[in-house]
Amino acid sequence: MEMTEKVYIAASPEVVYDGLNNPEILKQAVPGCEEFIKNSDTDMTMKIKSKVGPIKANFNFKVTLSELIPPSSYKIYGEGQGGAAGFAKGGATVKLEPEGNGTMMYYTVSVDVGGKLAQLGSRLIDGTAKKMAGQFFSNFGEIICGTPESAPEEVLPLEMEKARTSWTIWVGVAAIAGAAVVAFMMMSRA
Amino acid sequence: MTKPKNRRTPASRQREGANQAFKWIGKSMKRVEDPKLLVGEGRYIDDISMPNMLHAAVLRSPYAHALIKSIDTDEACALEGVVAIMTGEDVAKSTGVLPTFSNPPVEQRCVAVDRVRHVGEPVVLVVAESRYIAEDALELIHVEYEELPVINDLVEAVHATGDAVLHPDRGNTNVAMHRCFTFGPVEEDFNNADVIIKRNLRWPRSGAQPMETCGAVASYDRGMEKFTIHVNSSMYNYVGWLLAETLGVPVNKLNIVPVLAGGSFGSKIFLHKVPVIAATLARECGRPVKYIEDRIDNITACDAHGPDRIYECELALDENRKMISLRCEVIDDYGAYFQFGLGTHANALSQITGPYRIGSVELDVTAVLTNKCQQGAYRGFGAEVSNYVMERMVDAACSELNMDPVEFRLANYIQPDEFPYYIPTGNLYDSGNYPAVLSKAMELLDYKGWRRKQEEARREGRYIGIGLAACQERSVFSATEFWMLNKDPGFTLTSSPESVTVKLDQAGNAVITLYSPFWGNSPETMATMILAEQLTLDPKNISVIYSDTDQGLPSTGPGGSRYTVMIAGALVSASAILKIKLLKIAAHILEASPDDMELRDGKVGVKGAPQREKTIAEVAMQAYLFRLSLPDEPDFDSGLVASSTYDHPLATLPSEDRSDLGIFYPIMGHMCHMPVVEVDIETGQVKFLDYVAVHDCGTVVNPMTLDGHIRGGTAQGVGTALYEEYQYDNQSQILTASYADYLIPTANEVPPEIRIGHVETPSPFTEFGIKGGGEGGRMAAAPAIASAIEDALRPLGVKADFLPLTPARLRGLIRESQHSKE
Repeated sequence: MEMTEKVYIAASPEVVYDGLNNPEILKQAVPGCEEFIKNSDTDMTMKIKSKVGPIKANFNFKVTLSELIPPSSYKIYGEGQGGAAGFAKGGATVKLEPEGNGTMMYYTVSVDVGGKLAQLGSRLIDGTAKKMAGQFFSNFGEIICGTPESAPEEVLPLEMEKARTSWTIWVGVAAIAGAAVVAFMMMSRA
Repeated sequence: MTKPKNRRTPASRQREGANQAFKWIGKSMKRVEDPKLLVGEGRYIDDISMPNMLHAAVLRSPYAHALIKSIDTDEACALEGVVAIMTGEDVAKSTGVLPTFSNPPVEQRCVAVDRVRHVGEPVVLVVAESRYIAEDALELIHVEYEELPVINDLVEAVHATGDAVLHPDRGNTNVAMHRCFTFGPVEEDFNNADVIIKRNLRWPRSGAQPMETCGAVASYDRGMEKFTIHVNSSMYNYVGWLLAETLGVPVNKLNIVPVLAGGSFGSKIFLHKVPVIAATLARECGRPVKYIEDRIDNITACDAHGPDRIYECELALDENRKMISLRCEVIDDYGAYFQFGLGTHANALSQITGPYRIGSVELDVTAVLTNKCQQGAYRGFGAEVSNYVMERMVDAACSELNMDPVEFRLANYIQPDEFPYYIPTGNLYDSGNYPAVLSKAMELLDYKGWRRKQEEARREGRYIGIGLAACQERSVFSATEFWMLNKDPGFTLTSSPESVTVKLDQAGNAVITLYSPFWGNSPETMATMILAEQLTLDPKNISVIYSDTDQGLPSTGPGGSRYTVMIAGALVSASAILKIKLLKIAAHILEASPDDMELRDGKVGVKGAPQREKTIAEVAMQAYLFRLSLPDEPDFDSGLVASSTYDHPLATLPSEDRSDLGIFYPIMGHMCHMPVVEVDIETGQVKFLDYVAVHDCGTVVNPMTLDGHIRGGTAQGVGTALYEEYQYDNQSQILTASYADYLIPTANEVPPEIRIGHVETPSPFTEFGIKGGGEGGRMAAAPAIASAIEDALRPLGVKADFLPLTPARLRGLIRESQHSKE
């Protein structure tokens, strides 16, 4: 699965930057993020727990960063074992650019999932991946701005019907997207 | 085709002919299995419960190909209620490799050791006080994998080397076997051909989807050092003993107890992994263990995916438009293991030239191993694919040479007076009347009427198609098919017997013991009707039970559409023994000669003397309880019990060089399916307007149950043709592991009415002339539907060369053809 999206956050790059530096905000924005440990400037592990529908997934993510150009862009690669639920692995390229009074965040994510994640969710991967990644940024924007922001041009694709039945992809994508942002925050702060 | 050299066609062993005035055979009697099933009193595997029983769950590989680097089970072990956890290494200490017919063997274990070869392969077993706890414990196990290159594509598999090789112990290749079989003067025929038709065809991987998955309840008696395994497997009396070898115990220390199977369609023909898992855990824990696959377990790792093939085919025709030779090159994706070797191709070679007079044939087969669930059996066992191939080639010939599909078939059929008929591979077709079946199907369908309606519809811009598939249904397999295509066969078994025991009790009621299980067919009904016929009993007074292996007699089990034919043979033998004894005892009582006695409507009487008779009940009472009233001779020993074993009615060995495969699948059914479909070219949706299926299964024992087989099989064929496919992505992740993604046709997708007709061409070799009929529906439906779709879209020139023809794919074909015309 691959997707390229952009999301507008109605806050100046400085505010976004501060938000990205706040672990508590990120914990709220990445659903199920229980813990992250920074092993080095470019390596970290994070635990994401999720229980949606009938199956629990406890992801142990190993995240590696590269091509860091703070604070405007970086690349990230993550690999997560979800035990009986399977695995997710993938990478993202993230860019931040000031736009108007806010910030436009561009991201390209590619994710491979395996095991039950692939078995149960593959059919819905594209639509749901977009939705879930979007939801992360939406959460993030809401937390740092205090209210849900309205994007000037991009409407986030929210298809709740699909979301209900496709928790598996949510786990995979949220994990990658979450990892990307958390890692970005960690790096920016460093 | 002339008879192979040095071949003597074995004489028929038939005792009961077809031309009799039957009382029960041929009647649509309601199934005797049904009452217990309908009131929920059938005993399926999940109904088996034992005191102190534990429950197992299996941690399965999320990777298609990887090395297992480490397994951490500490956290899971600590979970309350977990009794034992076993990794592949733990299991291998007590339990050996699973049985296989491949040679050299492709080694498979019930739990992977060191390396996983497909998604869903078992990695760790957990056994706990409940399934819930066992499943929870799976979440706490941490396995570290090192990924290996994944082989997904069957063509790539041919060339893969190095780390991408699944079984390096067999050499640096994923080609499990490559062989070319030539029967007859193929090269000469192609050189002399007037026209050669070529097509590339694709048959998709699908599977049987029984409602009930595979399951077993095993216990181990430490005092007796003996296993007891309840399992919903089929051929437990035939090859179940091989599990003893896997478990490392003598065969007499393993008792396999059958339970009703909630469907199989071939997929439970011989379960090994599931019962071995349950048994291994039971021995480890000293308590009974139940393990039943969930749906994902079954779809990802049932060891019973169907054939997955690409074909390059050539059909040679002479100047008279007669088919003279067929040449096929096929690559078959067997998945990660190779349990039946090339068995499914051997099966197809029994009828590879279809109902046609084709004098030579060549099959070049490459079996490849990929990172997918391995192949097993699914209704047709490979011959459903060759039916598709043959009929696609016939349609292609008609289409390219502008010939009428009906006339062309009629001109190429083996004629009714040519039987028994040897096809080039050496298999024998016992009997048949193909023109009669085709003509009945056309009449039932109103073929000409539909052709007119098709014309009218085309003028209105509608796309209606009339399909035609005239196919073989080989029945009653002989065991040689499992090994004869191996280069160097390992276990060259040649028996495929079936046994019954019939006991008439003190009151003259019968108990039939079967040595093969119920798996959704009608074994009890068949046995009841045939015994009622032979001993003039009332079916109400007959009951049927199933034996375990401790008390087992030589039996093979349902599979290859053999069971009714085979138990008919055994029942004829057993009832003959009982009949002689009944007549002797009655003759003694009535002071008549046994030669003058007869069975008549539940009584034993003197021929021509209606008053001089005793009921079977009276005679039975005498047989059991009044020994001193009878002569002191062994013929009159107490009781009325007979066991009989019936061997294959007509089978021979293959030749050393395999230029002649011998007779191995000779009881040849035939069917003609004619669906009428309408294709919506805007959406690619296929709608059935009519469906006619005429089958010739020889003498029909029970038209109602046979019709059920045909309708059910046809529904599965609809699935294969239009919907079903196990899809793997390029990393061999299976994307269709639930019924949200693997589409089985529902009542909305199968034809509203499948109109069935029967032609009865009795076999001269089986009792009553019965032929098998368990697979024909699926074996004809897929080519028939492909033919109908191609016919509907003829104005667009679309070719139905691959399946399933889902709406999206059909739209793709239509779009392609529209673009190419623009």
